Amino acid sequence: MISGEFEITTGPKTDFVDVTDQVEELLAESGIDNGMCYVTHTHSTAGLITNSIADPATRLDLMEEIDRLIPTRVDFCHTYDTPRDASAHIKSMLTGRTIILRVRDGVLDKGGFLGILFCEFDGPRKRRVQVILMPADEHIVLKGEL
Amino acid sequence: MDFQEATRNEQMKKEVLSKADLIRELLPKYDEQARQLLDHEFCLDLGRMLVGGSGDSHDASLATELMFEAVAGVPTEALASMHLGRYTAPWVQGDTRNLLFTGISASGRSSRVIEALRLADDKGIRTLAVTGNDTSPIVQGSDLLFHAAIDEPANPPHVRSYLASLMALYAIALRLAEVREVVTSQEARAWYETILHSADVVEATINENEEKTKELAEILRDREFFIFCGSGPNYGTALFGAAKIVEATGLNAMGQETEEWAHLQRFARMEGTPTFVIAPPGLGYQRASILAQTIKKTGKYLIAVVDQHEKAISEHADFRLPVMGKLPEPLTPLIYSTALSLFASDLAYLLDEPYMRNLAGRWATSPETDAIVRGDETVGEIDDLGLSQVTSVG
Repeated sequence: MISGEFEITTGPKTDFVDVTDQVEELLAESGIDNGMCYVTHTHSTAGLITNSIADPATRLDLMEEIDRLIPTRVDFCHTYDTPRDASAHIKSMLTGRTIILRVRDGVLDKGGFLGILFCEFDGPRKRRVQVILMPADEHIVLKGEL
Repeated sequence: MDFQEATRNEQMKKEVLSKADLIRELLPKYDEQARQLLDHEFCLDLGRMLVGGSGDSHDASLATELMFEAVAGVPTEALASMHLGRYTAPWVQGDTRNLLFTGISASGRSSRVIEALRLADDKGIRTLAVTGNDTSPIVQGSDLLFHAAIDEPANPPHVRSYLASLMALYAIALRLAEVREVVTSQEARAWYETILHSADVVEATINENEEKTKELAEILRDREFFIFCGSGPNYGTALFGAAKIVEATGLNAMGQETEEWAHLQRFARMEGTPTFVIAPPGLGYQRASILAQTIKKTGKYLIAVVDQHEKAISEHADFRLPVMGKLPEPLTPLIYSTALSLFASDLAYLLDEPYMRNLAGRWATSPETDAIVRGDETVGEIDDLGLSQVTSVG
């Protein structure tokens, strides 16, 4: 198993940051040809998804819909931080914060248009993204142990 | 810290020396309290704030006004307690739902502050009491309570309770700023860290000035009148500096807004009046640097309370009390009052003057003249104030 991480700076309030290049860079450095790539983070007010990065407007639609589903309100129970922070926790839960992609022939198997998007729901902030790369053999052994 | 153990004339110095630790102790507590006290709806609904107190508490409201306006984005007005109560509360017109009256009283017994909150309550205005005593009369009838508790000696001059009031108001402003999204959570954290850093600046400023203020006290030991000039938040610092001189030494002192000095004390005949110019980097600095020349030209004794690297005022100054670090202007009252308190403490020590004249003889307080409420006394009925006569021409 090989792991690495990188830092990103997100934009104000809500933001999608395309982290595909950074993940692919770590994959290339690892020399792994086949296996699995786990991308994750430990932030409770942010998410991680794969979606189309072909048209940046898609991200606007995604965030608008997320905001529509979980609007920033003043009646959340969690009032320690801000209303945006309270809604961000729920948005993070909805999107999740871990994605898994297959590695085939040294590249991420993400089809034609998929990218890895870090979802900021309470920015701007400095965030860290972790990448765990598992070669195919090791993956099989681990599965066997289960 | 046991202040009662301190010998006469050392108690105030002990309070000054404890300032840095007090900042470090209070900030996390007050930050937590502000988060618990002020819910999202309250923070977002707030449209305007009127803040007031008496004495040091009034100074604290002036010192933090800029933080509320510029950082929290809440239109705020700092008023003396009588003005806040009798001359403002009864005359508020229109919708009062988004208005907040904040009364500051370390003891919780300042008569006019209690009265101001009662008058506001009478008009249906929301009230917040900031006090060190959560069982005091100011608490009764206040909608919200911020408990700014600290340990300090029974009698003034006080340094710690002023700092506690500042810290409470900064914590409230920071909470408002973050929830209202005037600053991001990241920026709010940076403000928090900067307030925490002010403790280091206070410490360094004390180290740098401990001998200097003693020397200055020797130089000025025969003077009987002192002026402290400051602008913006440090007009509050100027009033506080003057208050400490009066309380600690019994000598006369006044705080003046820097620009107003040019319209008034500039024309005073008396030469050699010690004139403290409190001028951190900020909006008032340029005017202070020009007026410093006038202060010298008119024969005053100029004491520069400025950043350690400052030059324009310092080159005209008879004496410098350097502040050993920079903060954003709204937070400068945390560090610019330090050397002033040290000086007042050293001067009282040198003159062997009992604080507050021991509150004895003609300085003794009495229930008739007191500005504070003792025991079960009340501040009187607000119906008796003659409010109806104000608008009568008959």
